[in-house]
Amino acid sequence: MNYKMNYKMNYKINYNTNSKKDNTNSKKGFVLSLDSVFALIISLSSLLFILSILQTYKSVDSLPLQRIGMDTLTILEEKNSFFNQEQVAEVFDQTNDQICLKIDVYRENIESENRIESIIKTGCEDQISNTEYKMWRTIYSNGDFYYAQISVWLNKGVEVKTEG
Amino acid sequence: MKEIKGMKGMKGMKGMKGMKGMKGMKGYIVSLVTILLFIVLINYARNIVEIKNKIQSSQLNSFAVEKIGYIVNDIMYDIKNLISVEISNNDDGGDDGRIIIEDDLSINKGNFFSDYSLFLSGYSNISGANISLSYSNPLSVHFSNFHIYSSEFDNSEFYFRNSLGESSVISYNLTLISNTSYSNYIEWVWDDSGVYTTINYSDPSNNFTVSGYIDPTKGHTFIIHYPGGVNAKIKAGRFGALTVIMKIEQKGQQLISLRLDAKLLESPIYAIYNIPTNISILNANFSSFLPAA
Repeated sequence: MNYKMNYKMNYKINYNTNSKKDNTNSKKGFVLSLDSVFALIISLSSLLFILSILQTYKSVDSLPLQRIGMDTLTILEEKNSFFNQEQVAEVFDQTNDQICLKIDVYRENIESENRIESIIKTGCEDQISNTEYKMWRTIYSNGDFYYAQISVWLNKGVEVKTEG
Repeated sequence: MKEIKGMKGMKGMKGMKGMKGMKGMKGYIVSLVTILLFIVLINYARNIVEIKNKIQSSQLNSFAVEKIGYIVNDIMYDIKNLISVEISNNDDGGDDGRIIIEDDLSINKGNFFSDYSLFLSGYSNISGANISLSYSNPLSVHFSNFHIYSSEFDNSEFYFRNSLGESSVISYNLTLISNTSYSNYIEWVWDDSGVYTTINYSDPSNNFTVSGYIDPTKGHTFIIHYPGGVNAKIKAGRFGALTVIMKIEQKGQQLISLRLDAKLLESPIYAIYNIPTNISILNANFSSFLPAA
């Protein structure tokens, strides 16, 4: 009898203790999961915030290419060479091999039907790029106004040569 | 004994709670440190971007200034088709200088400017720059040594003089080209000393070169007659309060080109057209007279 009583008592105590432990563990797991979810949210939002900040910076890498375009147009106007393909090619050849240039001359406005001349630097014919920069210059010749449009881009087919 | 056991149990419970409290505190501290670390990282990233943006905006602003200079140069080259100006020091050294003016008389300057204003509005659209020119008749070039060259839009009158009155011109070399053959010409009376003047003239049938001294205190008139009672007059010397002026007047349109090469005691530093120009891109702005040389 005593043995039976003791067994029942022990079983009850053990049962109670185990169910309490299970409750505590499940609560602990829930809190841990919640904690990790919060941590994940905070981490991701912070990373997104940092990325959004970093994305506000815009590159100014195009400026040297635009300068080359402006300088080329200025030289061509000073030499009065816009309508002379050989002289334009000569000026193009003075530029670095990595630079691709194309000049289009339009009468009165930049419409494709008004294009009267198009000259591309030798070696750049197959190197058309999506990231080209355009600059313009006005020309007055024999009573008519023209636009010279220069497109500048990097020739990715040419390797960078390092001296020394 | 029971009390003592109870006490022990109580003490044990308190220890357990203390341990749990410590663990909780540890969690708080780790979370706090992580949050602080992220705040530091975000601030660091923001500072880097701010510095890079400042560098970028200063680069873009300086590029905008370069671009304005480029556009000014572009417009100057267009106007140079009407009147081209070159200033230089004489080869023999010293302070004396030289002004060379080339005026294309085959272009009606009024028509040019009305067409050019329209053309420039298209250029403003594609280049992203606000451009405005204010032109007025006559088109003139002002030199830093107070000399002025002025040309009427209809090419009827041109003169070169000093706006202060007295001029420091040592010599003139005037070249005139006409598309009409002259009937005859009447030279002025040359003097023994003064400003050495050379006139080179050419038309489809004739050409001549005459030279000699003209006294700058006296008025001189050289007339070239054309068929139909029209003529071109070259006036040099004193006319009213103005000395050593070189003035060309024409009735009708015979002359198609004028080139004046003047040597002076003092060299001009710069020259500007009487064309107030406004150009703006981003924060950069140009608001001045258009440079001529």
